[in-house]
Amino acid sequence: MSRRSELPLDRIIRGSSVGRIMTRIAFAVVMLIIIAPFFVMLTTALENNRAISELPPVWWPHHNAMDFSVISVRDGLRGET
Amino acid sequence: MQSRLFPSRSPVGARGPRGRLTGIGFVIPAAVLSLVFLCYPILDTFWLSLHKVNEFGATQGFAGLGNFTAVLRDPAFRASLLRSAMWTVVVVVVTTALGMFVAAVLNQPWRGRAFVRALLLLPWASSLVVTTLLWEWMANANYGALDHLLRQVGLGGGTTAWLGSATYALPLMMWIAIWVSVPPTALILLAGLQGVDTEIYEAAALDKVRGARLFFDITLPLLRPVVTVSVLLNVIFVFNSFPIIWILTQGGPVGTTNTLPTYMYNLGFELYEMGEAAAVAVIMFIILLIFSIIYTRLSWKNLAR
Repeated sequence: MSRRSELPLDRIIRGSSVGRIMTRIAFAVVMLIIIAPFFVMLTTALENNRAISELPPVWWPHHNAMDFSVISVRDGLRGET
Repeated sequence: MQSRLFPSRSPVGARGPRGRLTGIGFVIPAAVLSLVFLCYPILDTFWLSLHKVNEFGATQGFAGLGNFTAVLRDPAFRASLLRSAMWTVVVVVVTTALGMFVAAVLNQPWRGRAFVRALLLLPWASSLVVTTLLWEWMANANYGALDHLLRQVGLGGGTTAWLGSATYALPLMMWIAIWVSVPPTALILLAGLQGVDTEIYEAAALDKVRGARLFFDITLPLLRPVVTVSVLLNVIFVFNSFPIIWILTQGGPVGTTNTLPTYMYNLGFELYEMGEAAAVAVIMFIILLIFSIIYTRLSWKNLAR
């Protein structure tokens, strides 16, 4: 039996280490593109109206903006607008 | 126990008329639902396409093929047909390629794979209207994140009116359609990949076939039946896709994103040409039917070789 055939099956399927790293990087980019809009949705949900339309965009909501969101959700659940 | 679970005799035929009646009883609800909600609308659309129809949907005499000739003479219809074909080809090809790549990576053993699989479901699990509105928000020329992100990675200079531009609107919508379609496609292909026998890979290893060659020479041919189904489903869904375009541009600017579904909607519910709209629906049905027959026949013929 040749030496190569003695490698674990997952290594055989994955190929060379350079190819593996390139594949991982490309996969990370694809996943980032898939997930990024949801990150925007989540942060938008936690920001106040002024922060939503700010440029450059606010990627991580300020503390008081999160408070504002919590208050909005609480008021919404109570039926108050 | 074995004999009770898997009776040797035929379950319906050998049980006599009473068993047959029970079987028919089980089938009737599904058959009635199919007749009412599938067959009747299809037949009614065919009927409407051959009649003059007023704005309230009432038929006013036989029109023959008049609705079809009126639609086929319309340059906007021909432009929409071409755009629909382009939209379908681009979205399905890119979706299948990306879906295959994602499935191949997710099929390998690595830590965190289950979590990434769950993440992958997000665009699919969310409402299409919500995700489309999310992209509309991101593509906003004044405060959208898309321009900012592109500038950050060096792919854009200024602000772009993505949805107001005849150049960028359709490509952006194609991208959204791809973004929505990749997760289900990847999961279908992943299911196919997991069904491939590992002994084949062991045999390939003996022949020193590895990496990309292993994928293209062994995995891809074995996946052909799954790819066939995935492409067929994607073509049908993408060709009929309506919400993304309607929510974002309603076929504009100046009709540059009008595909057959939006053209049909405009005809039926804005111009109140119900007969012509029904004719477009019939043409779309026939196009998809012909494609499905040719594609499945060619695919199964290749598989049989």
